[in-house]
Amino acid sequence: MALALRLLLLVYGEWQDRTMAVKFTDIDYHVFSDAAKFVDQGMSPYQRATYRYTPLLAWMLQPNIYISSSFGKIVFILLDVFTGYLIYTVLKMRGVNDKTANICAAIWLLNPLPMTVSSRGNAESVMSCLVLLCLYFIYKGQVMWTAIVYAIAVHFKIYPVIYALPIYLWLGNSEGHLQVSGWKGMLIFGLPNKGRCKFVMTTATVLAALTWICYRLYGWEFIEHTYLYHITRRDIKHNFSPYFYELYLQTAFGDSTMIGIACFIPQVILLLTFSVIFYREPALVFLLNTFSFVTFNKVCTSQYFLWYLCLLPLILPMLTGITRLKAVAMVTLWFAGQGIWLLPAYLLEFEGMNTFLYIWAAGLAFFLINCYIMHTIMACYRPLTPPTLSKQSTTQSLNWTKWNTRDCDSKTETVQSIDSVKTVTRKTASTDSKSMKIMPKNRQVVDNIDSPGVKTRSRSKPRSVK
Amino acid sequence: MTLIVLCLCFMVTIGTGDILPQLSSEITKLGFHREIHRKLTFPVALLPGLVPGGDVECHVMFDELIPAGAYMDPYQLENLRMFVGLNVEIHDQVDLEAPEFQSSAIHVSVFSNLSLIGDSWQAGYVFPVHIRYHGISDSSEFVRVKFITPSVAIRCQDTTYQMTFYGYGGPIHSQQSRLCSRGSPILCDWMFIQTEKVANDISVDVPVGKMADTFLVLVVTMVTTLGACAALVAKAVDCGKYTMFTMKKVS
Repeated sequence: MALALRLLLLVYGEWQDRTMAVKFTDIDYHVFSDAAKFVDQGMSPYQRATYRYTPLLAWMLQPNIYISSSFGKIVFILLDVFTGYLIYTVLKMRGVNDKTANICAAIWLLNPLPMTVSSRGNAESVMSCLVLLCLYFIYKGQVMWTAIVYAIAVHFKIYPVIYALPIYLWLGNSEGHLQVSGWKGMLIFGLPNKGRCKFVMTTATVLAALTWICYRLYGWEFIEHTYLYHITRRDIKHNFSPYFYELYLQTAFGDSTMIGIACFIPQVILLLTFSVIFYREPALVFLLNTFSFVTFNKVCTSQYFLWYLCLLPLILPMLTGITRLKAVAMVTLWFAGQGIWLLPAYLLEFEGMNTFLYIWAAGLAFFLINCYIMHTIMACYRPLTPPTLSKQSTTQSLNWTKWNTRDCDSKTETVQSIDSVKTVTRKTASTDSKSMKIMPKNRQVVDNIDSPGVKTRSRSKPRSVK
Repeated sequence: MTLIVLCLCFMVTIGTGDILPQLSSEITKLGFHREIHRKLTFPVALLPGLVPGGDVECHVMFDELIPAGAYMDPYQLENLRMFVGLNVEIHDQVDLEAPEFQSSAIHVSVFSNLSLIGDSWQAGYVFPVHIRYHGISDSSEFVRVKFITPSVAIRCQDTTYQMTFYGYGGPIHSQQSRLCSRGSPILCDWMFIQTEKVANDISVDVPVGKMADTFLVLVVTMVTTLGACAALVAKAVDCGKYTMFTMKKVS
């Protein structure tokens, strides 16, 4: 059904392109296609202005010239549908039941946003597919394949570099490093082991090989457009970033390096924090890293939203602490935030009104909404399975259980008995039997640990999980 | 040869008096994406040798100088060439992303055919332009971008003898060898003619950032982003009580 809907959109797009002044096809698709033509003529794809992608994309779209100009769109659509399949598979691997996995995949597959994006010929589905494939191999424990897919993803678009640290830390999980405390523990925590070495070496080799091949073919242009442009990009045109107006105003003062660095610091702090704290939940840390990276970025356009939206279905079954009302409120807020921004942006771009200050204020509001969503995700996330440690200590199991059973809205305070550390409280509204149905393993662990020696203080009456 | 041409022009000019082709310009749409409309109208008397379906055909070239505050997208123009036959030669490199203060004017030539409409010959085109971001201002909310009137040239050719036909009856500025049409490797003799402007130069007001906003924006943005960052870190660390047991002493 998802494929049929996308193909229908593709056919409609062809019709609209032929008959209407406003084109359906994404402007970037013309960029890719033009770059493919340059490659076909033995020239560099970077001859095409604004082509800022790997040459692999231009090579991939060669059939656009010989078979059909829609070939690329079909590829993007197939990858988009495959992303949905990967969402389903990863969730199944994590122990989510069939029905929930199907619903989560459908949230992606029947979502009009990715559907339209891929049908219009935007290449974001390549990235969502690569990132999901990387997660799939992480959960499967195939380090070599994780590294290969990860390297290709970074080569395609540089942003997956933000997953390097959590993957690296995740690969130390099975070695029992976490048993050691203090500074020594922290040192060992980051030291390479067999899996980490394998990951780093394979990633470096694949990335270096791809870079070397492209550099040999297209020289410095490749490095500049594929990598450096995205690092040094400072777009003063209006976009969703809270920094856009600040950066625009700074153009009057010449050098804006200090402001650039100031914008970069929160991003780095958040990436490091999330990576170190949540690395044991790869899907969660991928989502939080991407979400914070996009939200705090100096440039933020709507296509960046897909980078984290493709990861969102993977954690939905774990957001059991969230009430339905709150979930609806967050989704509404997210769309409303964009709507608030779009109005002044439209008035500026298409009506010529001076609305810079309003766009900036709306950008800040949207920024705060995104931060609130991230905050809520962290608060309401409940891991499905205990950490896969070879030498689990009681404390470790217990901490996981506490995380799994803590209160989402901090309205229920858990008081732990020092003697009997096996403390479990459940927030009343967020842990009804319905939400527990989709986390059988979770329930089992909670039931096992639950003990009568629990003391709770809460505004609402706590209800034990039965 | 040049002497003959000048004589011919002189004779024809005497014959048509002070009649000039009329060039009207208009800019439509609002905001950063505009359309320039140009229309050149020749009274029939200025082109006595030109008759519909005859051996002589005439072409017009408009030499536009797009100011630094605007640009046209070569890829969009290429698309328009295929769909509506807009024939444009861009003489300079176009940076699609640079702001006004990092750009320079772009020289383009638009080629158009003459067609008989009513009792006059007409040539014209609709040309999409995009406005660049401009530097901020400390006094005004808008800055003005002015599009100057293009120079107009005409060339006529006798298709039977494949010879240039010098039958234009209006005053001429100069004669130059320029490209016959877009992408053509052959040069043709173009006569730059005088035109009568129906309206003045067209211009657009572009919204710009205000210097007065700088302090407010800087402070509020920094406080909000750093505050949000701190709140997220605090929440993550709070969750870290459950996940970061690695750093705690294990009994």
